[in-house]
Amino acid sequence: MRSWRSRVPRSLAVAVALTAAVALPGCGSDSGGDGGGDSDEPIKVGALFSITGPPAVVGEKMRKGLDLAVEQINARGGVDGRKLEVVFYDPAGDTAKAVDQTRRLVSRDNVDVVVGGGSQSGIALAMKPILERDGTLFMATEGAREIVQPPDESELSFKATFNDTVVLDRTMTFWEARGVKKVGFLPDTSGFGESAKQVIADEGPKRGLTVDVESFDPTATSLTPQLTRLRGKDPDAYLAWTTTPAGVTFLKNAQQLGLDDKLIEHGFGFVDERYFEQAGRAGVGTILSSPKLPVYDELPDSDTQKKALTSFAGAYEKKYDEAPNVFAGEAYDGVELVAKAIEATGGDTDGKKLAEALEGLEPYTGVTGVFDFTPEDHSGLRADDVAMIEWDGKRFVLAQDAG
Amino acid sequence: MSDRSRRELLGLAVLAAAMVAAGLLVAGDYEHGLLVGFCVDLLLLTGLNLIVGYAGQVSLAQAGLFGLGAYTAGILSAKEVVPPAVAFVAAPVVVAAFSALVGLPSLRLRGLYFTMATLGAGVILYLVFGRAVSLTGGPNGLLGVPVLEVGGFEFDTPFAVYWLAAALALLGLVLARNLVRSRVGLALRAAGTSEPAAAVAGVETFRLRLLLFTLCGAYAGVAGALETFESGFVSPEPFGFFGAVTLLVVLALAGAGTLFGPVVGAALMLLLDELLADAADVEPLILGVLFLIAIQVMPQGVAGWLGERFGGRRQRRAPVGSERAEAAR
Amino acid sequence: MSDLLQIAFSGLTVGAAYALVALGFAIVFRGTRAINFAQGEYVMLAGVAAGALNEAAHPPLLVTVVAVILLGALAGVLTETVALRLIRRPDPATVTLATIGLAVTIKAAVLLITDRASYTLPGFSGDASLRIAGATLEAQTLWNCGLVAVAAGGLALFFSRTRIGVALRASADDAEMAASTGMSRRAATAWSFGLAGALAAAAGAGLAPVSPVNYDFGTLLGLKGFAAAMLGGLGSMSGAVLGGFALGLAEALFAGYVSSAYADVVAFAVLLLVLFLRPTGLFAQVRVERV
Repeated sequence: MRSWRSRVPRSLAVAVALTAAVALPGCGSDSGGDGGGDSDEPIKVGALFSITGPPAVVGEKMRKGLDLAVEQINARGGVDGRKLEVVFYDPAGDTAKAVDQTRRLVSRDNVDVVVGGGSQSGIALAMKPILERDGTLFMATEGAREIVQPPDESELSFKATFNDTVVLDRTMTFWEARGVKKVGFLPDTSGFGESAKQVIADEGPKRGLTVDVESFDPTATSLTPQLTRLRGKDPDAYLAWTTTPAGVTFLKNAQQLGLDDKLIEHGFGFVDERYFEQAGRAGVGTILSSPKLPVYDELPDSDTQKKALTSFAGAYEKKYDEAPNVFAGEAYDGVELVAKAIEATGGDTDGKKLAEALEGLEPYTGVTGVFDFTPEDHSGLRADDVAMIEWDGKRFVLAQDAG
Repeated sequence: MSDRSRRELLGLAVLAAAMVAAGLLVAGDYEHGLLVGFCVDLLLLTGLNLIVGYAGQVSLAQAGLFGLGAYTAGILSAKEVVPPAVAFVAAPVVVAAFSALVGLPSLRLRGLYFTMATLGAGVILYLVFGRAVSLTGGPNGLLGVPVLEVGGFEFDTPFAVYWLAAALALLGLVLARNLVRSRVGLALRAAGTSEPAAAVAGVETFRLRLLLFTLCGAYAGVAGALETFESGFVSPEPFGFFGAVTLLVVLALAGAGTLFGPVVGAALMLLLDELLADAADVEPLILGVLFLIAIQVMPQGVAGWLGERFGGRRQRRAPVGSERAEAAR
Repeated sequence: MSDLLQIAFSGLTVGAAYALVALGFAIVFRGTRAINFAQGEYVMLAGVAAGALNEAAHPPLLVTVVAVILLGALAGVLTETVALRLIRRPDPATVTLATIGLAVTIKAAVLLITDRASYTLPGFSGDASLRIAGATLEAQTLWNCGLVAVAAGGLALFFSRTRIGVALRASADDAEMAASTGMSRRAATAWSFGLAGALAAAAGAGLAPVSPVNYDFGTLLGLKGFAAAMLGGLGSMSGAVLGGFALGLAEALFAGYVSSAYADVVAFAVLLLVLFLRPTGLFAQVRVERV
């Protein structure tokens, strides 16, 4: 029985020492801390993007867009003479981790604003109450409309992307133009998919559409059961709504089941070349809803966004040696919008003041669309900012559309 | 009072003092959240220790049970079925009942087969958490858990929750100690002294092992409730197979079958989380490598090492012994 | 009717993978009486390696597949060295726990190396498929079933006709005989894990064309393969194959007719049922002690 006596105090001492070692560095740090700073201090921008994990494809591009914007702004001399400094965390698609990291941003790192909601709607939704409570402006880059609704719970929360209501509105117009009456809808069970499911349930019937829904888990390795059931209802179009690789499986399974004589579509969370390269032949002809960026070279010169898009695309390609991506554009817009707001408040980073500044900004022509925020609409984009595009096997092109 | 008993009580007192000091000295929501995390881990490990360290049966269900507690508290309070305080109490009750239910058939199995049954139960729970979207919020989790309120007092900051967590964790340790020193512990130890006795005693210890497994579940339930009310939401990530493995690995490294093993383990988890906050992906690699090293360095193998910890018996313990005896037949 | 057939076909695809994984469990169990928790991670390792190799160098598909199978075998053999060599008394419980540590380590390593990216492989026969009674049978499904047939047949021959195989089998069946077969315990363990690794790798290579693979997809798959092995009777080769296909079909039927959301639960419910009601599985090989 030798173990007990000597172990007891020793192991306890170890435990206490370990705990103390961790706790002490945290002593004395204060939480929160917004408000106007000195003219020399950098503006701290907290950023949460999942560059690994299921939304990695999305998050990685978002990070690039953010970095490009910060670089450009700092090259111009910063905002009000103050440079932007980024504090970055990767929650890897894990909501619990993201919440921890958000807390860290406000309480340890004392950031002035936060751009990016973890590249996943569910994560952005979890971050929102923390930031609202802390009085920190939150500029999300994720899709679900709940991020900015209802207005009285989202005073400090904005998004640099479309609300899914706007995108689905445009999609339904497209369907009307193509004569689609019946749709098979496949949302994933993440916050992004669930939100869209709600929107379609509300809006579909109003536009005279019949929609059948089959959800899938983002880790699903086969969507054949769902597609088989939907096939039985004989829809004119199949629309999947996800940002994860399961969307590739959707395309493959749809082809295998011989569904490609119908419209095969994806939502605006899937606009990425890597996914379509992985899908191979199964991806050719897929229609997506998207910001105009992937097809900017096909736009007429009279399009309001053309200039902004061309300049962004040029700068992005120069820095990263690859074609620009819509997710990068969203993050880029997010940073630019925040910078404009800080300029408008004269350097005051108090959440409420920044929010008012954003609402009061003139319509801003960004990469994702023309942003016009109001107290009721913290997304600020309209259906005309959405383009319907198609993957032709090599790149995205404008879809033939009469809508 | 025996020498050992005095040391144990002294140790507990020192721990209590340290936890009070930590609570008072540390500032910041994030930091308080870490301390609550320590208490949660301590509860989980103390519970796991009961079945793994003292009854010698390796359970892979602890992460799933933790999740069951978390979701029970979360769903009941977020959907406003009952007030948060009731939801908090309901969590350990539900998990204990579930553990008892699973334990009844599972504890009749020995060794690896018991472990496999707990694995099955744990994974089923994890899958349900992620798939029952309308109930649990699906893979992105359940939001909108209200603040815990007891008699008008609101636990609306991690600081407030910490005091509750610390009290419960300490209570849990004291309870575990008393249990081990009681008839239960003595009976289990007696069962391990020789193989024929083990075979006979196996039947008699069943009820004791069931009790321990049920309690293990109760601890996980309390841990889950604390976690839910501290963060305000529940997400399925921590409750899967690797969560269960992490708890096991940490307990084995820290010392299963000892009173303060769980304390060391919880501190280890806290330390790793903090040190690797910016490189969280490295954590499982470090744990895996540590575990592989620990396993090979233990001369009697992990099971024997567990047995040695538990009262210093040299004999092969019942579960492993029965495997070998059976294989040799 | 065509729907039923369609669903059955998708059950075959995944059932083939379960069968290969279950065979691996059977071999390791026979050789060491332990359960190899790293089995699923071997599948993942091979699948991800195949996808990454294909993306980086575009070698002929056959080369990629053979390469990862060899990689799998190597990974299995290294298991013995890295995780088990220093264990003085490798009793089954310790070996099992060691494979748990190994599983954690392999997964974490792949996570760090690949940064959680996902990969695919082209189908072995491209997009080819057959239409049978209104349902589509993917060529890849046939390939995967073919892999099982080759593996099962190959193993049968190996264990009965080759010197090493016979020795391996003898030392597994009877510990006392082990010494006289000339095969040391370490060699037997290495062979067992090596074969298991190769089988898992075949499963991984066969799955990568079906849906994107990443660092995460092996864990659940491995556990389900274990459930299949238990269903067939741990230690039984034919049981492993039958258990694998049975589980795959059961899962697909459940997904198609009851609920796709909970289809993954089927394997574990089956595991629990087998453990509680008939732990020896369908083809008894070992007796499980009950209390």
